[in-house]
Amino acid sequence: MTATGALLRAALLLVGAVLGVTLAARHLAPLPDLVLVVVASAALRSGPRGGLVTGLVGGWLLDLLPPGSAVLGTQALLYAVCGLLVGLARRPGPVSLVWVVAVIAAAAGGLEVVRALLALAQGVPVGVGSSLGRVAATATVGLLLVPVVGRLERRSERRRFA
Amino acid sequence: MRGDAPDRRRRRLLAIAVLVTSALVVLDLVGGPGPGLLRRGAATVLGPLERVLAPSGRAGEDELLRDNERLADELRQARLERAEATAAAQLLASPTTAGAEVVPARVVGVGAPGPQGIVRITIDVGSRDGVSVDRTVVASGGLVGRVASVAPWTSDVLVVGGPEVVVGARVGAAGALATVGADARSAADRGPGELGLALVQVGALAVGDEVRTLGSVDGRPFVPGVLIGTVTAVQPSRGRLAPTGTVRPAVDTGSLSVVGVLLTAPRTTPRPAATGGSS
Repeated sequence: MTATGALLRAALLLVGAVLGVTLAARHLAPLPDLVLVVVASAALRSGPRGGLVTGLVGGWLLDLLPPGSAVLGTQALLYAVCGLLVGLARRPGPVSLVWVVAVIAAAAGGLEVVRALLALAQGVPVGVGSSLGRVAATATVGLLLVPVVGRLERRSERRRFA
Repeated sequence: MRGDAPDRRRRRLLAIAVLVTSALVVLDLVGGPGPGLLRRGAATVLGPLERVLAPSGRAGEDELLRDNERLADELRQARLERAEATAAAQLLASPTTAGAEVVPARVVGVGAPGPQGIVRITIDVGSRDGVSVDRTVVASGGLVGRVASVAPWTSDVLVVGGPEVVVGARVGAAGALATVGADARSAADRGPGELGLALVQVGALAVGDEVRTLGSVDGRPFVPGVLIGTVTAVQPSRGRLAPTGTVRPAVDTGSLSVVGVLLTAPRTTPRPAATGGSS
């Protein structure tokens, strides 16, 4: 992976994290998890290790961006594991969009389940309906964004040799 | 598998990054000094970014319809400003803020929305506006939460209903003492967004009772008498000393936009003693 590609990925993560926090302040619902979409598309392109790094960076952004998380580093570890697992689902060669959407939906669902378990363990009631809405929104945004992100990354890699 | 040197170095770096993250999680859990500094530094850098992107109704510019867009934009901004002014006026006129020093603030960020709902928010006032940690945050309806950390431009608020907020409260006309907040035992009995309530001693608890804050020393983190919500259900005290209940919060966090931070100063003058039975 080139420096431009890494920079682009970092910029995408920052945009996704900031958009997620500020759009939530406008009380839009259901809100897609943009950081997860970027992490998943990176993991599907560059495998488990790339996914792990992207997830770690994206999760740290979510941890540090005010209001952040209750315990620093929790989102980082969650998204890193997500990136690792999505990276394991990488298929060589051209990938069908259905597979991409299925993987993103599964990752979003897994994230929701883990967050719900953490909340229940701390005595906070959870809403199932809003979770399903968020998973659907994330999968839909993934369907729209993953081809765009992939094209952007390919272009940034190609420009190096131009 | 390419086992060459840069590859191994990269792998080692990655392992170190994961280890550092895990170490910070543990450090934050046990309350070490590092994570607070990190959080404050990040909020100083990233907070202004969120303030810039705060809801203010800016429209995208169209080349052809620029005039129209601009006017529509101005109209929208005027409407939004009027709505915010109304919300701020409501906040200042509500009994929640009567007699208190209030810093009005706008919600500019909401933390990673999960199935648990909204538990942390960012507001656009910070230490430069006189806000400090453990201040009460209210909306015109009642209690929102308390300030958890402060940066120069923004501060983070823990919302009532989250795992980290437990409020001492008085219930009903008799003023029975209770605690309100997340309670692991009864999370399954409540709907999302509802709070758990547990009386401290045996006392009366009825559906429809108002729940108000008990207040803390010097009004931090909670000033007394702020409405938290109303009791919507009472569970029998089988196997427990006192009955427990469910509280519907007075403030809907899902539509929160204008809030106020109460800067009540601690009492400085000594209270005079009075003689009983002299009236």
